[in-house]
Amino acid sequence: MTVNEVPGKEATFGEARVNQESGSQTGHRRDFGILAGSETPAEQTAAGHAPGDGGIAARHSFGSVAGRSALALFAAIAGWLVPGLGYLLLGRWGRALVFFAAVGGLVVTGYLLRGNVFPPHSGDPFGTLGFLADAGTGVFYYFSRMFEAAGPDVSRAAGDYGTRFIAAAGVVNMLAVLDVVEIATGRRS
Amino acid sequence: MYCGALIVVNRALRISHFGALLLFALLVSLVLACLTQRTSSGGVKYALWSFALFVLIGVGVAWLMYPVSR
Repeated sequence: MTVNEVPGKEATFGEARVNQESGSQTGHRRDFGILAGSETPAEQTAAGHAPGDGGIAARHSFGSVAGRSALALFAAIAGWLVPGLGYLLLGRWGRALVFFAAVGGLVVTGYLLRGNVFPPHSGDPFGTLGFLADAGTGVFYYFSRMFEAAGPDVSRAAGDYGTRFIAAAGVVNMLAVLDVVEIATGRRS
Repeated sequence: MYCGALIVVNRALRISHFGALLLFALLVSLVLACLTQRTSSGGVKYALWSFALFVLIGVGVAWLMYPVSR
């Protein structure tokens, strides 16, 4: 959030410009959308035009911000553990299915290609980075032994491809977690 | 199980290099489309475009590397 103190007295919340004196919005979208979720349009207008109300910050209770943050944290952890679950908790069934299928497909393919799964304590920076990428797949990381009963085999090109598939799955799942956080906090629609 | 370029034998996948490229491009394109686009039509266009670029650039890089491959 940036506050413009030059004449005009406008504060900017994302894309929405708010006049600090009147409280009226001129932007087409409000960030912190969940905070407005409990308000009807009429209430928003009445509150928005109340003189001397201290602007947007005073109109939104700290409790709803904390609730939103808690939801974002819960959805993020769920989305990390089970790819797509974060979207499911936010009611986005389509995205949840796509992410579960895509991340699961990448991971299972990587395991079937006998890609390398990096252990937590590899003792080498690249191994640590590999572990962080692999751990991004959540519960799939712990299924690696089930799929790779014979262990990894990177002596063939397929095994090397498998390593990349697993790492890519973890990275895209972490991107999905960030997307879930942005949606849950109302920064993104 | 055999399906096209994919063969699963004893829980190990045998796949051609091009098959791996296609599979990777398909799955990652889907994910990127979901992350960056908010409409269905935009997502489909983005996924198709991303998939095509993955495949074309992959094949192009393979051809560039061909002289030094042996």
